[in-house]
Amino acid sequence: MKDLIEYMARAIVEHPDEVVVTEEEEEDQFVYRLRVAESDMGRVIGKEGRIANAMRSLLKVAAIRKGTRAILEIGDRDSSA
Amino acid sequence: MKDLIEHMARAIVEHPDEVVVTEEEEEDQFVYRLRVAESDMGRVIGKEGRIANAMRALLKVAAIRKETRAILEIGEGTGRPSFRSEPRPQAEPEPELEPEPDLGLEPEPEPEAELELEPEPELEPEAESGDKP
Repeated sequence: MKDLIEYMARAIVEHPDEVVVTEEEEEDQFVYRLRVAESDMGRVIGKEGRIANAMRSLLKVAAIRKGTRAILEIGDRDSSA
Repeated sequence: MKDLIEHMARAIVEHPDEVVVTEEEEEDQFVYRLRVAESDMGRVIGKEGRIANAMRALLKVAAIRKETRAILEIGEGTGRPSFRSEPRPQAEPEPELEPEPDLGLEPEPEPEAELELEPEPELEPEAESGDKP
């Protein structure tokens, strides 16, 4: 699933080399944090969050297929949250 | 962009080996045709076409980045009847979704095919991952 997020993000940003995805397992789910260049934030979020939600929709189905759940958080490279 | 579609589709289907994506360049845009196993059609389309539209949204941004346009059509099987060289004797309803050449963006299966293609992955129910507004 980490692969999937990296792949999607790299396909749409201008700075694919700055895409970083981390994975953390929490109780019954995986938490992914996607970091991109600040100038790419708009691209990965999209108008009204459409792109972020598109990635989440796909991630959700991928997670269901593996019998788990997944959350995607998005931030720029400077954000620590 | 073909890679992207393959990657997304393979991540969500049960039969990744049956995922086939073809690419055709037409005038000012690329047309991609995604074929998956019949049993995976519901997964790649999703409830109310949500997954198909999610893939299209990402594809669109990827295409814009490359300063082009892209269309994604989705169907089951090979898209070409090569695996069925002889006509079937029984007249059973044909659930196959042939891609409509002019309207590739219609995410819903044809109404008459809905008995076969309820676009809902069976596994959906408890999946509340908190992304509702």
